[in-house]
Amino acid sequence: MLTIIGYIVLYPLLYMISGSLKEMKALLDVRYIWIPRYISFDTFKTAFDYLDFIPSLTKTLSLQIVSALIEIFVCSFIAYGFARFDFKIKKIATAFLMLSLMVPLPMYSLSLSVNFRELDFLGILGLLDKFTGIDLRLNLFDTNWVYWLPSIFGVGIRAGILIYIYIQFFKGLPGELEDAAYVDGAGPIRTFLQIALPSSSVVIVTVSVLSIVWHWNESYLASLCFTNETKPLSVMLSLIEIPLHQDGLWLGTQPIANTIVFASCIAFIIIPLILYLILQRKFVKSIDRVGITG
Amino acid sequence: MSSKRKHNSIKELKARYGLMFISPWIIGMILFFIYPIFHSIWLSFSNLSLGADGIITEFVKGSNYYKILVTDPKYLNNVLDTIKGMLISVPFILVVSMVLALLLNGEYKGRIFFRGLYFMPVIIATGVVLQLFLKAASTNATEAAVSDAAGFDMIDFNAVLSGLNLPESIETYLSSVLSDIFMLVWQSGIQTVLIIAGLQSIPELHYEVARVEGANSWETFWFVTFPQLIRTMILVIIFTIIEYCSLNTNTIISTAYAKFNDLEYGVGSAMLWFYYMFVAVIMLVIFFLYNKFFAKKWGESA
Repeated sequence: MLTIIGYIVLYPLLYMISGSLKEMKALLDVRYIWIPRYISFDTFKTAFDYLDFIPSLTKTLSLQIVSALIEIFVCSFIAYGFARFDFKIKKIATAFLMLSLMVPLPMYSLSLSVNFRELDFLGILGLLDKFTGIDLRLNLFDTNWVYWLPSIFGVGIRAGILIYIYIQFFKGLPGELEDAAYVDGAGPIRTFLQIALPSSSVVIVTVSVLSIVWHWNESYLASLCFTNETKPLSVMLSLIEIPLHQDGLWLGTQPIANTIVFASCIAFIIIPLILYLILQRKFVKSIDRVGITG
Repeated sequence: MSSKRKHNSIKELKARYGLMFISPWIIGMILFFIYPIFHSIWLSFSNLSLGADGIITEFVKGSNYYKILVTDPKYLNNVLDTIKGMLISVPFILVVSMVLALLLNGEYKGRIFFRGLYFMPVIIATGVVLQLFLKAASTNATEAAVSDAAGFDMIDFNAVLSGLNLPESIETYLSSVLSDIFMLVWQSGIQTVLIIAGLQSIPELHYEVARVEGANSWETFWFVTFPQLIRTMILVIIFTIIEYCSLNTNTIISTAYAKFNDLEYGVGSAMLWFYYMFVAVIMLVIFFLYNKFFAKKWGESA
């Protein structure tokens, strides 16, 4: 049973790998479907050109991965507040946390990007501009802050579910050590950084894998916010049909276009995949101990 | 008296700590979540253009909605198709991830290997890759030969299904699921992760009691596992629906973003929010059913 489903899981991946390695001649030879007769890495070279691989990879790393790292830390901080303390507006705040799980990012990313052109706090700075002529509004469009800033405030890409996973974990963590820290005179932030965070490596592995992958793949917000030449990999991949068309290649009808696309897909997933294979054992084990309930 | 006051002050102190921890999030929520949502709903009622001195917006009432619903011949059909697609694939994804989670949760040799394998779609089954893959594979010249060689489509599922004499609605459901099987299994990755984490949080004690009472594994599943998992399942259902909405293969989202590229911001936003209305109704129905049937029955004991 597991093997059958395993086959279903792997089928598209193998198909892509084999498809991308085929040479033109081999493509036409339907007798050799899985293991191509003439292996060639030329397609990868072409795919790299189409993706503008090195610049866009650098962009992805500096934009999305940095944002993911910020998010991983900030979400744990916020979740700790939710899980450990009681305060007046906690019920409303929890309701909004649930709401943030229920509205997908593509719904409002246009407004986010428009907002980033003139960053403002509820129109206050705009009013200031009107009355005094001092324009403090920042234009963050096309800068990495588009991702970083929401992450710093703990509302980055799918931060809701990450906070939720953290909360469930912190709730299950025995609080005695933290109480002891308070008695010894440590402040809440110190307690969090030195007691709670070091004992949550399990949940951090889970959250890191999810956050990095989600950031790596986000293309809607990025496609709206980055109009200049260096775009992250996810956007380059989602727009790959445009340069292909310019070269007279049509995806789906021409086998050569398919191989290029397969090769680009592999180039796109190879880094997270390697990362996952390294972290795999930890990730798999961590899931057992995170403990998510409703 | 004094001890009571001290108690209060610790409570107050803790409340202040709590607020301190979540205050960045509150600011972030207002700036980057609530405000953009209202802005985007407002956009759907207005016309937006980029002029020389910034963005010019003009309120046009419901004309964007009129455009997409009456003038655009395809939009409404697309919405219905997408909703239908969601109603077909979400239950299937749930069942697949549930079965996978139960299988992977057991103790056996090679568990780590299989788990590593099954969580891989979390990494690779991404919207963009999935979309391109489907497009390339669906019309590939060698596709027929490939699937023959793979032996997967050798069995004509539709023939088998019609041979089973099932009611027509079930038959069409099954055949549409089977045609998308790779895509659906690929989308079950994170759900499986979440369900396994939920399964692990059920105390071992409950299973021991069930064993002592002589329950078989079927009964154990329905009376021990399922009731305690139902709240995780609600989370997973919501997650799956939202995931479906943000996939690159979702035609509504992609047409709306095409409109954004043509600078028709108002029309695009209207498309998104009209579609989301349906999604929101579905989620509300799920919450309603959960509260009515499950929360009372099992919520308290869990």
